Amino acid sequence: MEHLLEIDAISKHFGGLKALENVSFTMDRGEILGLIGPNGAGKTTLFNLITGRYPVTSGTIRYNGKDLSGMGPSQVAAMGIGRTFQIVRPFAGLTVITNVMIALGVSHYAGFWNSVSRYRTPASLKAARKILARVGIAGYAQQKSENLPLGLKKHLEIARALALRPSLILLDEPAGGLRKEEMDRLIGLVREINGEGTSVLVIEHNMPVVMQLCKRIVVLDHGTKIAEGPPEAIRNNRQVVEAYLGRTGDA
Amino acid sequence: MSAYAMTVSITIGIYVILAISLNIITGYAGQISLGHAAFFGIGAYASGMLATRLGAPFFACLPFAVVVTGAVGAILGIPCLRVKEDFLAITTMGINFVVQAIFLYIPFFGGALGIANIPAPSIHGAEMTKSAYLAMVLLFVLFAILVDGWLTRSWAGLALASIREDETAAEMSGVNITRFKVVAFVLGSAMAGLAGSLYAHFMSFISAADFGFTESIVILSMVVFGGIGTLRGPIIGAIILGLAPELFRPVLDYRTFVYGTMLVLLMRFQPQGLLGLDSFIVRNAKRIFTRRAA
Repeated sequence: MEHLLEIDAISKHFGGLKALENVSFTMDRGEILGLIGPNGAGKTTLFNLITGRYPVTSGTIRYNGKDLSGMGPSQVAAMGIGRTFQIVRPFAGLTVITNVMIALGVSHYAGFWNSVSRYRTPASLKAARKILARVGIAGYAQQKSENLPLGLKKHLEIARALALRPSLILLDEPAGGLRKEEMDRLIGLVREINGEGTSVLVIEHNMPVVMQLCKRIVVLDHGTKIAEGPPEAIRNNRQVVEAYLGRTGDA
Repeated sequence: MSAYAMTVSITIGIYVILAISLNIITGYAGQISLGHAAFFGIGAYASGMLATRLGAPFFACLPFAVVVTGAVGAILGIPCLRVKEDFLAITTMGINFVVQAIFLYIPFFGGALGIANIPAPSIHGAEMTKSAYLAMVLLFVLFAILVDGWLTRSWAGLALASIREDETAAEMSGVNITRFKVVAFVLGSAMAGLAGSLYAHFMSFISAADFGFTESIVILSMVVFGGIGTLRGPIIGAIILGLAPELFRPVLDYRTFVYGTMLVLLMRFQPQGLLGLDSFIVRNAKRIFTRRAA
């Protein structure tokens, strides 16, 4: 059976800067894959390549066997890849439910008659409320999203990603900036979503979170993949430890 | 109703359409435009020239103006897709100057003499009276309001709002931002073209000077004054600022002074506009109505 996501020898150069160099890995359906690495390793760049925000310099990204190259972000989103952001980006001035409605409209933005039809239908409202309930923020539906605390904004971003009915969601530092209890809620949510069949690719700096969530981890450093494997193996991998802490004798 | 009152009403009606149309681009889609008068002018010239050069009747000129302006809006929208915020402001301003210069310096467009003797619309050979014209303008205002209301209730309107709030997040939510920016530019421009046609056949004489940068600022002021991003805002803004020069006629020497002061005070104390979301009036009206309901 083919992989859900196949990253095949991709490189991304910004002028002379090699943000990613010949990175390959695959992701299976139903998996939670961790993506870790020190700052500047190229993790978020990789997310931006998968979601079509930047074109790759070389290499290919295949999703469900389909080559994603040349596709713009909206097309990639429509194919069922949702994402959240390292620094949250809700549609600040809009209500929580409207945020979710926007992503629910993904199938309505293509044809003319589709896009001119009314968005507030009983069916779409029901679908949006269901997703909000799913991530536990149904009580905030009519609040302006900018007024939510950070933890709930992150839940909202997940709700927005779920509205795309994705088979894969990319989470960029979901635990970043959260208190312990907020973090626990979020981890629980990610697990549940995964349990319902959505694969998750997660960038995270908080090692306990990564070790809890992921059965497999890919480590990037300076744009290249330096390790891949289960958490215990990664924890004891010499190259990984060096990437984070420096070579022994350096200090 | 006196002829004078009718003239003022027709002018305000045209401004209401212009303000609603700019609000689609700047208020809903969040794309600042300092050159909206260019599209007003393109509509007026398209309509006026078709009428005077080819003798086409008004009811052919008006749709022609709408289509031409919408098409030009799509073409001029393309350079605007690549720039944002302050750069977009300067680009649209530049477009205004270019369009105005083309009207002024290319003989085909009548040069400095403009387009004169644009006929008033006639029905069964009888020229439309001023009151009939006012009624027609009001019908088109109603039409603009309906289009606006339809837009804000549609998925397309939701897509525009997402672009205004955060382009990156919009894309990641499946919104093709290029397509919907073009939709906003085309719709806003076409509606300005409609206003241009109504203006040309009402004034019967138009020239490049009518469609300059200052005019763009006047339209933008109406949108912001009333409350950008709402439907009621541009309408009330166009009515108040359209009426202001007439009301302040007794203090002719201080007219622009009073007008400017109004703008400054409003922006200082009600930056969301007179009837904008969360403005003083709207907040209190909501409170009163909810209390009554409770």
